[in-house]
Amino acid sequence: SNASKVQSLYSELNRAGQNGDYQRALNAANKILKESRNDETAFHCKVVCLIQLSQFQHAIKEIANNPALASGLMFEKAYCQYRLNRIQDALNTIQAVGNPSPKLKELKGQVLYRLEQYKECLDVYKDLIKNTSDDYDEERATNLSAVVAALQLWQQEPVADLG
Amino acid sequence: LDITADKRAVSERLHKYQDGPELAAGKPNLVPFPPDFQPVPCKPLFFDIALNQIELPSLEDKLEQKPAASGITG
Repeated sequence: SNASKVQSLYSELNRAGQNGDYQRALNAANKILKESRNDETAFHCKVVCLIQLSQFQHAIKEIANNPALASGLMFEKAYCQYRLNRIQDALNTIQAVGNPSPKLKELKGQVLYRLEQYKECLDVYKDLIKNTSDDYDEERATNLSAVVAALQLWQQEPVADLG
Repeated sequence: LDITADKRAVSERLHKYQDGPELAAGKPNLVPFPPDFQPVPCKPLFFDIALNQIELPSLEDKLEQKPAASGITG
């Protein structure tokens, strides 16, 4: 039946995703969407796979063409815009989200850095570092020091030692 | 106007009028070449941490459906 077909496709998608085989996962997600067109989860998977395969243009087109399915994918949308060098668009997307998730804040920090809005960027990173604890603490601290360096170098802004 | 001859390259004395016959004579000294080295700050390392957070959503509820239930949910 349709439902059991979808379910077995999901277990294939899940397995491929865990193995990092995003092409295979994408195929499964596409098959699920063929069976049930309005499956938000499958659509979400499809967009994630496209991003993992660096197909940002394709991913953002899918998001634009399926607004009903993509309403929860503002992070993914903004990330594609960021990678497509549409940095101001990415910031607009992020700012339109009422209660940004930690990963949206993470992206916001990177977007502000690219926009050379170092002061706002510094605030974002201070907040992120205070409130997150994951495997990327060191990378985040590196980014923070890049922001501090930029502030001092390009905007002659003395920054307190954040040691 | 300061009309004393200025031996610097033309690009370095653009603010100054100087009627230079050497400019028309075939070997004009337009820019110093090779240019001097200039120190520039290196581009700092900056990580794309957001990419690490591009993850598949939880598929648990999609996987846990019992096959027996598929008849009614389909």
